[in-house]
Amino acid sequence: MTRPYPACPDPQAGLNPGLKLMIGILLILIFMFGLGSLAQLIPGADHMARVIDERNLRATAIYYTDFEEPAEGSESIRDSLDYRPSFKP
Amino acid sequence: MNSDTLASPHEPEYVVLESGKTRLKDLYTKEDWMAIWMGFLLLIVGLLIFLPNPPANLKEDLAKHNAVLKEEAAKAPFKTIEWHNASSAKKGIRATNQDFAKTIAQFLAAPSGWKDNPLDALYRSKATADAMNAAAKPAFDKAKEAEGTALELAKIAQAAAAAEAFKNTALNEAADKEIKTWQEAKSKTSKAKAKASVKSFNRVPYLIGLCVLLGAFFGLGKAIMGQSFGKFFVGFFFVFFIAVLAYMAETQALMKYWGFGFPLWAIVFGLLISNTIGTPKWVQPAVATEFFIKTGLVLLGAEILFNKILAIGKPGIFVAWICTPITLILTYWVGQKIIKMPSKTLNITISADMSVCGVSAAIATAAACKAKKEELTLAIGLSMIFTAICMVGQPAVAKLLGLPEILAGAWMGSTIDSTGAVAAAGAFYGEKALYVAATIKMIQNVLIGVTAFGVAVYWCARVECLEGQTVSWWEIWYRFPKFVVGFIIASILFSILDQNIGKDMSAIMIDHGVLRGFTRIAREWFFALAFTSIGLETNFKEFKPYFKGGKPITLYVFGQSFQLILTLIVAYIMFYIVFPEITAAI
Repeated sequence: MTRPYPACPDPQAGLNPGLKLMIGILLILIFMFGLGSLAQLIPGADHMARVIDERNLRATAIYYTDFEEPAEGSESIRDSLDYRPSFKP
Repeated sequence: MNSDTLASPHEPEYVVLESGKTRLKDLYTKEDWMAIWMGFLLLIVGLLIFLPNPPANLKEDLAKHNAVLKEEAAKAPFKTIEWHNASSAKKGIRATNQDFAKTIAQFLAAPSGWKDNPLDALYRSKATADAMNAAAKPAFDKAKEAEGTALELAKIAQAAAAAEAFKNTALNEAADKEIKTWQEAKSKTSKAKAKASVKSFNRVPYLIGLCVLLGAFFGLGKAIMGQSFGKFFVGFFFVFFIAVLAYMAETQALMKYWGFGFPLWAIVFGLLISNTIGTPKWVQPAVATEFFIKTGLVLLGAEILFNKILAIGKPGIFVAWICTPITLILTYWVGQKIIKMPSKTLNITISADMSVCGVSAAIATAAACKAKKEELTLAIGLSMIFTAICMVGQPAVAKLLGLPEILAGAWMGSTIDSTGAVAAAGAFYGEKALYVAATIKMIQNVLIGVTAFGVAVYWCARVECLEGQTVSWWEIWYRFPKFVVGFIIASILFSILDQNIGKDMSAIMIDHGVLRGFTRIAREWFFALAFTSIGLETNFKEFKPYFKGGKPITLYVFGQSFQLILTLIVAYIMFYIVFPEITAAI
């Protein structure tokens, strides 16, 4: 027997599913705005946030092509190695 | 997750499931093959858009800037102001800076950043943009002034060194120092300028257009494979909407700082829906995890350019390509023999995720070894939590140990999972650390191709066999996840192209053209859709067996600790004992 589509879970029994969804959304919002803010009290975290903000870094990037810094860095290093200062005083 | 092959709701759900002999019909009925055709179609479109349209005077400008670099390198024992200006001018030439490329980017763009109001991610009025620019202008003016002063001091110091024909070591060192200070000030100005020149936007019409386009694109693929275009297309709107929400959660200011990206949010939102009100029936035809992941992976293959491994010379290869496989293999072995992980596929997915480069490695490895979707989810969740810890903790430890910037950059680049978090940790430490960390991570990113291929072959030839069974090459081919072939071919073809057109040209036309200007953005959307689908079809209960005894966490902590120590030792040996001349040149 084959099924045409994936087996997604059925709505949960027990507490009203709509209410459960609302509670879930609320928990996510608490995490985002509550715990996220509190976490900035960790030593160094605030400075890290400032660095990310100032440089507009994408700390969530999953691959080197997702943001500019690896390209900038590797091109700078490449020029530094290919056109290395060769003058000897 | 493979809709063609699932037999009962009680069977395990896999990221990728493929078996049986290859028939000609498979070429247009199986998702593996369809993903290859669709991925390659997009790659060809990208090549046709960008390659015939290089920036004006490209070759002449490159030749001019390279001539200046060569001349300046011979003139002084340090990188002069003119050297840096020529290098910056080269970096300013990008195929993506052209008008047509900006239009494509605008059409494909994900939601923007926001802090308190989520709608800011989708719409910014001109008045808001003007207010943001006005607020950022004082910082920009200050940075510009500081850069001007730093440049004047650098010019004076360089002139003093030139007056002595660059033979006075003290004057040379002073000039070098002032020029580096100017470079740092210049970098700050550039970032401040970006903040002071934001523009108004309305992403909603573009997102609707993109949704229709992607829905039609994948719907057509589904139709060719014999499924309903209409049902897929209708359900796709819901999946796309959740993917947009996941992007919006990623771009929220605080979440962005913590590195909690769209993969995590897409899964969380999907899980929340599927485990409360349930995924609506009309959405289910568009819940196509495998199809999105495989097509995305074929596009990712094109971003695996093998020449990149030489970006920082031999020390980079040793740090990224020796330490990483050792860690991967040892962690997997410990997982099997000592920790006794409940699943081999979970073991290898976590090992690759932790040792190579986080989410992207987890996706490729999970797909290659046909891991279950909850195993991929677990690996990604672990990776994101540890990434957040390492991103803040490692620069602090490096400072405590007094590591020089290059060593710290190499260490963090090779050991922090997520590519973006590596850059953040590097930037925390310093400009040079940022460049080295980001480059080492880029070299390590390339390892995904080898890892996925190796894991796919090992699984087909060893893991999926009975004890003592010998498997023929044909049998390996039958079992082999075919999209991996597309993934590897895309990597090989783009690596050859990258090699043949030259480093500078490739950076402008391939990296900052075809890839960053088109296929990368598409790939990211495909992954967002895939993770949303994973959430929408996963039951919380499926995670329960994996947490027994905390084995995944133990495995992760062991592998990460080993990698931290090994990489620090190897990076020190390579950058400071074996190849100190490369370190000095950087």
